Amino acid sequence: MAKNLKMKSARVLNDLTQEALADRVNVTRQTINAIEKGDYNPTINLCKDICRVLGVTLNDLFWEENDNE
Amino acid sequence: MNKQYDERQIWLNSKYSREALFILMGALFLNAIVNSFYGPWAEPMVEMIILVALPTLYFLTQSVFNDSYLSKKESLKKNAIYFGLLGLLMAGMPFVYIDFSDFQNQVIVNGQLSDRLTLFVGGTLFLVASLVHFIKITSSKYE
Repeated sequence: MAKNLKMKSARVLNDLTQEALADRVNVTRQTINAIEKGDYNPTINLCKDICRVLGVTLNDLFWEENDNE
Repeated sequence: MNKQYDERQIWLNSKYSREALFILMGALFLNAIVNSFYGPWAEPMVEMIILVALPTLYFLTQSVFNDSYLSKKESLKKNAIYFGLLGLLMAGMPFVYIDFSDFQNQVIVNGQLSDRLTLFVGGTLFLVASLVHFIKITSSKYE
C-alpha cells in the first residue's frame, strides 16, 4: 500500500503531532503512523473521524486518483 | 465494542491469536507423534507448560513488537517490571527444593523432564516476556 502523504500534510497543516491526532480520534499513535506509512487500511468510521478533526473530506485524504485517468 | 484497544490493535491481535492457535495445534501434533514413537519426554505438568509457552511467546512477541499488546493506558515499562519480578520469583523458587547439581535425579527422572521444573519453566516464560518488553522499549527509542 502507498504512503498516505495527503493525510500527513493535512495533519501538519493543522499543526498536530501524530500523538495529538491519535488522542483526538481515540487511537494509538502507532495506528496513525501505520495509516500514514500505508501499513494499515483504516475503517470508514476512523477515516471519518480523522477527516472531521483535520477539517477535510474523505475524498481529500483517502481517494487515490488513477494515474492513467 | 472494545474501547481499550483501537481497531488496528484488535485486528492484529486476532491475526496473531489465530497464528498462535496454529502453532499450538502443530506443537500438540508433534508432541503426540513424539509420545507415540519414542514415549513420553516429560511429566504431564511440565509438558503442558512447555506446549503452552510456545504459542504464548509467539503471540506476545508479535503483539508487543507491532504495538498491539497494550492499550493506550498501559505502559510497557510497568509490564516489563511486573513480568520480570514474577518471573524471577517463579524461576527462583525451584532452586530452594531442586538440587540442580544432581541433574540426573532431580531434573531428569526416568528419562523424562521432571514436574519439579514446572515453576522454573513458567518463571522463564515470564522472564522472556519481560525481556521482549525491554527490547521493544529500547528499540522504540531509536524509531
